Amino acid sequence: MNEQLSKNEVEMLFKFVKSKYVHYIDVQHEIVDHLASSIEEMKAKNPSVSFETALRQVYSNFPITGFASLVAEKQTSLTRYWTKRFWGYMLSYMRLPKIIIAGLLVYIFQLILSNGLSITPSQLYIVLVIAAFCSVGYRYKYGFEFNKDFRDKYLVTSTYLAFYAGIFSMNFYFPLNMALVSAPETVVFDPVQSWLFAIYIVVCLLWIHGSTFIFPKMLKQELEEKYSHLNIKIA
Amino acid sequence: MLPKNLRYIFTNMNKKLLRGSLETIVIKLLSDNQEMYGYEITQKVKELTDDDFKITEGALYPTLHKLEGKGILECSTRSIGNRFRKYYSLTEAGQSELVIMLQDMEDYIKNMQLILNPRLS
Repeated sequence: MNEQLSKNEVEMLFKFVKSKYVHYIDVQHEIVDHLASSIEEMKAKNPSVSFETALRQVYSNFPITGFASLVAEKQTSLTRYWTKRFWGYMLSYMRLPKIIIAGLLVYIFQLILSNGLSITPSQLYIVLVIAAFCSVGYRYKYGFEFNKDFRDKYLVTSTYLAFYAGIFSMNFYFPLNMALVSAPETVVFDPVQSWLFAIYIVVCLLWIHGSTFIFPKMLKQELEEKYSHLNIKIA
Repeated sequence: MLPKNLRYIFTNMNKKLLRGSLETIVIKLLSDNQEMYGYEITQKVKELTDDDFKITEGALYPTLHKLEGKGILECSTRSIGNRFRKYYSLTEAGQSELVIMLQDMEDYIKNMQLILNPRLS
């Protein structure tokens, strides 16, 4: 086991990494550990080498762009991760046991629609508009803060919020877009139409539920499991 | 000893081959060692290949992050004295990916040998 760098030297490494435009604290930690491990090994082999010389030598192993490609790849990887988590939730309703719930919901909406109701498709989407407004109300009351500090300090939260803004805005896009393009005339749904509309409404409702209740929980769980050392506080 | 220009060509060729095989190397090492941190991986590769293969940090971390994003690796962070260290390990998906990658690599090596050393009929 090599002798560890002092607290002061580790702080110098943090300063160095920051000076190379790595502003995200979670990424800084990973780079600092790597630099520190390399320097420790170098000093174990050659105790006369100074901290500054060792750091210069270790940094020369990074590409000419410094840490930029590392941060960019980490950003892509985290965005991919959040996408996967959210779609994982959506697709879970295509598998047992949740498919039973989704199937039941589709069946109920299909029953309502095929019952000869005299409504326009626009009126139908009122359900979704109400759900979307409820999700905003819930987020406003119980959601965490979107302050700049929280957004820009950590790459994990920055990528999360960028993705979250996208899926949350879809809560409004789905119902409003369809309500605007739908015919204003009263429609009597035939069986095929009623099944299709029922599926569409259920997918939208699951999306709204996921973006309002499930996805924020995923962030809290992620921060507790993998980033507890950073003590990231979200309201 | 190779002339300087030829040495340059071979070193570059080696780097390209290494970059193309980096995912397989990382997954195989993590499968054999349960969990490792970034620097440890670079050192292990050097040790196993008698300093012949040198994985640069600029290539390793993007690969680790890419594999993490794909759900092949997972990580945990632990305190080691006055700093934190991130350990990578294989997920279940990573274990199955390893089998496929090793098979692909074996087939690739076999085919390369057939091309480079064709048997005389």
